[in-house]
Amino acid sequence: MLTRRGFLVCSCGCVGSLLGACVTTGGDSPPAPTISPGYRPAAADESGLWYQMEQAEADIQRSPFLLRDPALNAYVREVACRVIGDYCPDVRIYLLRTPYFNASMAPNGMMQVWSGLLLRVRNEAQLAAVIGHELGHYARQHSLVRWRGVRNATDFAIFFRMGLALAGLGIVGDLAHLAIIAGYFSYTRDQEREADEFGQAAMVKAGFAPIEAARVWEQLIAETSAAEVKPEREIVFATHPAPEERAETLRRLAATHTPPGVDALGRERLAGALRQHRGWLLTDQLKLRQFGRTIYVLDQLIGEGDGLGELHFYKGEAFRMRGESGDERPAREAFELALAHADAPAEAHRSLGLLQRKAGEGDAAGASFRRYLALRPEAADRAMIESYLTPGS
Amino acid sequence: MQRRGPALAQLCGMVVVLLSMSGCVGTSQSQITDLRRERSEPRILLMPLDVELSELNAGGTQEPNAEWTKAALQHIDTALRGELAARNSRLVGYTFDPNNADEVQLVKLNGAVGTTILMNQVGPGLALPSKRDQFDWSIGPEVQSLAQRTDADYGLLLYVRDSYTTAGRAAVFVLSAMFGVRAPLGEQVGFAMLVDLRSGNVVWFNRLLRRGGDLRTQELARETVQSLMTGFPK
Repeated sequence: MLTRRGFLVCSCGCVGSLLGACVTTGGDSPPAPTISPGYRPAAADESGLWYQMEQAEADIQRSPFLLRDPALNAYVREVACRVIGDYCPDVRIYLLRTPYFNASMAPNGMMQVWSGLLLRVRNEAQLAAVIGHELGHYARQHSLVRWRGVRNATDFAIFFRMGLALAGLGIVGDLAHLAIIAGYFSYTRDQEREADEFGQAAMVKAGFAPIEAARVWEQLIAETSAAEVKPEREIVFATHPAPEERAETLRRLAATHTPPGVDALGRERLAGALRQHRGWLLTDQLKLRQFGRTIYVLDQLIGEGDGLGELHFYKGEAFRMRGESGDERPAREAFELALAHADAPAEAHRSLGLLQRKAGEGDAAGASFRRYLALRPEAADRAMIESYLTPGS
Repeated sequence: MQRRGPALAQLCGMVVVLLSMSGCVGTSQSQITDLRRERSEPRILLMPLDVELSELNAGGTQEPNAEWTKAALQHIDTALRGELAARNSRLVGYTFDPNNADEVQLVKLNGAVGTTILMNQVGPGLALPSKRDQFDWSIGPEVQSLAQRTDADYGLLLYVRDSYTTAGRAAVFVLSAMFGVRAPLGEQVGFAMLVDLRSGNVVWFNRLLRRGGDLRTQELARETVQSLMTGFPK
């Protein structure tokens, strides 16, 4: 992840990095850490970065978005520590209730894992892949390297531009400025490639199947293509390499660097730890109103076969809430499928009832609503549902 | 990570522009001239200080300095206690109650209102239409919960961003002067805000926008704090 500080620096009207040096090794051995476990910053600039992040971390500790569930935190930390090994005491992991696929690492060891990621990873190996990637940013001091790059480049650029202006070549200075900014983004992409490699090596060391690192990206590509609105892909000013490239590289590396017997997936363990949280994770996802993506994610989870009553209910909700022509039928089918399973939420009866009511099937709707109220006598919308049961409504 | 919002980044930029146009000094606005003195020494709650000291590099990047910032926090706290004692008021320290999520938000709201007032004041183009000629900001009566927990009468908020010119930046200043351009140098940007914890109203606000000032030593920090406290109600 790019720390947003870098963006702030740039958006303040400064320029990016001139560093053209490629940081990917591309060789047989993964990039080595530049700091040891227990590291504390020594230089003034690094201490400054850490200080800023400590302030931000104090903010996150007080955030209403912080997930404080002890069991969930303990579980993620346990998986993380298998991957990050000796660095474990240096890394704090914060689970944040934000329904997008993301994780980030600050230079001082503050790692964020967003709830949208927890919804999407399919096994422990995928979670380990992301955590290993973030550890790569920490152990290779990427924020510091990037900050120094920005600082040195802007310091250089200002004298360079003044020199050109003195020589009457101001326009060349402007073009150089643009090249420097593009250079900055190319630099962050190289850091991401490096962290991918580092993370995959770390997960292999912990015994996780490295191919899952590639699958994380393949799933994201498939989800994006299921979206109603396709994100536009930036090329020059992108902070991260294209997911296609990342998936391909990780797949290639997995094919050549997987020792025999390194194939742990941890699918059941992950499913077990997340089982009781999936309801609210899916509710948050639904509220994004990104129905195409949501249906894709749900189909993947349904494929795993765990908790089908709940999953089919949410799938039905996605179709029902989108409400485009042709959505009613799959919505209804999903609710009916949900209700064939014991773990269907009572709300499945209500949603089915709403669709039946809309279709003019008054008796069936009434039966569905009554089942809902019987299962949820304290429902917040009881008065509303009862009004539907009143004759003539 | 982004601790302060993009609005603030925009604000830094505006302040830079403004400073290069005029040598601004502190200007305070007030709803009251005197503190409520139902007790001999009104208790003033000092909200968490929002202070950062940094170096201004040649290319214009600002590098936060942890050592300076930590020292400055101490210096400001000491100087402020002295300032308030001299005004027959007592400073009450604030510590976050991690189990009180509403209060955390309330403290953050103070900061958000403060930076909004500063933004509103620094340039005519930035002023909200409804606030142009009025000084009637309020955090809302919810602040009473803060008063109850800390037994304070007022809340004081201090915000300072203090940057120091590096040798490289000084060279840029000299060179750019040859083109008739004034490259911004290190500066102090900040404000002090007093909130009545009974009504939630912002009763006093003073801003500081200037080159110069130094928070790195106790002696010099006292001068900055005095400037910030100029016009503070009696």
